[in-house]
Amino acid sequence: MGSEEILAQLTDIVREVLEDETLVLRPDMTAEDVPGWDSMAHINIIVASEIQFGIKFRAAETEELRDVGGFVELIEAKLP
Amino acid sequence: MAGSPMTSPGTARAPREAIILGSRSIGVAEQASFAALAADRNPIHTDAAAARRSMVGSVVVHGAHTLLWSLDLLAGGEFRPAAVGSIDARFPKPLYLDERAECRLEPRADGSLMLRVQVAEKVVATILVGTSPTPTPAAEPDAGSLADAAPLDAAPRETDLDRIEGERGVLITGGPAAEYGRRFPQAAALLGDALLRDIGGCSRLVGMICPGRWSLFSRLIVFPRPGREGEGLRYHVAGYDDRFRLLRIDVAGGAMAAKIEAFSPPPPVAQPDISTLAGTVNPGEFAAQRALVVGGSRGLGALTAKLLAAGGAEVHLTYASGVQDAQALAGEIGRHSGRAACHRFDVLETRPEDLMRALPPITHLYYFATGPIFQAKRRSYDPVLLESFTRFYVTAFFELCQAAWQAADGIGLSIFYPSSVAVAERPKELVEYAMAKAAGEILCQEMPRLFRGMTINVERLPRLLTDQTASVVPQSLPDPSAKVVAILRKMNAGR
Repeated sequence: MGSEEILAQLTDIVREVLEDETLVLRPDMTAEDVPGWDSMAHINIIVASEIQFGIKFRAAETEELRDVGGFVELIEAKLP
Repeated sequence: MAGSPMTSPGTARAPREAIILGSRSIGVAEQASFAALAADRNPIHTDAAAARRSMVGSVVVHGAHTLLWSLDLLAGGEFRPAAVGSIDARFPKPLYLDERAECRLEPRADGSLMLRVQVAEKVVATILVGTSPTPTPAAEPDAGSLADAAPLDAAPRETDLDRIEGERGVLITGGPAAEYGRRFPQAAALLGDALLRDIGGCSRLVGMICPGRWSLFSRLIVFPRPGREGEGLRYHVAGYDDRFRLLRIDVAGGAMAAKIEAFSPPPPVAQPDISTLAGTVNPGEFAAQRALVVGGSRGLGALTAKLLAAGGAEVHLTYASGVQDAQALAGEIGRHSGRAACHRFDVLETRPEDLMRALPPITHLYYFATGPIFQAKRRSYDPVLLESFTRFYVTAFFELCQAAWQAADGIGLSIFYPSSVAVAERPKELVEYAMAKAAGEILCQEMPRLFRGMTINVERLPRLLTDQTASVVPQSLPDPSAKVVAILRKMNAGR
């Protein structure tokens, strides 16, 4: 799965968690740029991503995420 | 029974654009009444002092209450669905007592109905109402006996999270279903009052039983089914994620199956006791300080008071609402042969001259007064919020310093003003807070020119581990003790 496809699926996840159908994610965006993406939402996004992609993050990895692009790269690196 | 669930398929009508279904606030009396009905008396809903020390910082309206109110609005309005197949409610932010919440109905491309409950820009609930029949989850918790259930008046349970995964149990739901029907008549007519009671039971499950005392209700997905009375709720902890202290719970009741996601945040940050802190300061090194610690009943204020007392200072600490915390702290200091007295002082209400009359002339003033930092914003830049912060961090601070300086009558006065790294970093949600702190910094530069003998230390403090920065997400914030000791020594030197 390529980074574009991962970004598309991640966008769907974030839309569902934040209940915002219009949200568009870009690699350079941070949680600060997305209304409602706070610490609680972050956990829900992480957990939903693990289920969606069949992967598992370490706690430290989730704390170190800086932007959407980094999140996509991390998912890509963990995919079998 | 006020009504039975409508299970026939139907196409929901939806508005073309978002509409407001209603708005309201919930006060103390109504909150207590719902807590009694649902038998969810978790302290974050019922005890202002305990809620203040918790992660949410103040008394929070039950998520189930917000959900039932919203469903009542939907069911009583123009866009009442013919049938409800599922209800998916998330509670991303706390709704506090007396906050005015607005419930909006938004159209969705897939025909479902989205209710969004907001206080200004703060979203406190999103409720996705599916209008097509939805299969009930196949796996349901095993039946248990209500005879084994905790009584309704039991205290909230302190759960051992290490043993929570796989737990099964049964609980008694709260007050009679008919009472739910009376309070939420439109929702009861649409969904059946037994379902409303089961939803109230989920509140009790999370707040009182599992995880109980330390809990935050995050999400509830409900699958209605024909209602039966008096079965209670059976539950099974299907998963526990220790990275986030997140529980996933399957629930079955007479009128529904449900899935719950709930956090179990850590208990309030406990400050080290004064005996421990005494090892970090030199005996008598603060003996020359007769210090006033404003906001000294918790957090950095409480830590400052303990360290000062451990170093021999005479400490006068103030509280606005945490009288028990303040008295306990003064008692702890006294038992350690320290000198401390506590005084009620609300920087927004009490005249500082009145406080000063109750005190001997002070030599040092530490200003840790603070209200809720993370507040609901009305827009990207909220002048009302700025005014609120400015009263705390600028105006009230100035008036107190002036009164303290006058009372000091020429003996000199050293003041500590805790600013914040937010002034430079300006997180999006803290713009007004950062602006007020920046104004406070400028005032601190000016005041020594206005008041002879006054010195002021300003430090931009990083996020340190206190009640206000506690989070359900594991954090590696530094212990604030060393930072505070350094500040006290700087103040000792009068620099």
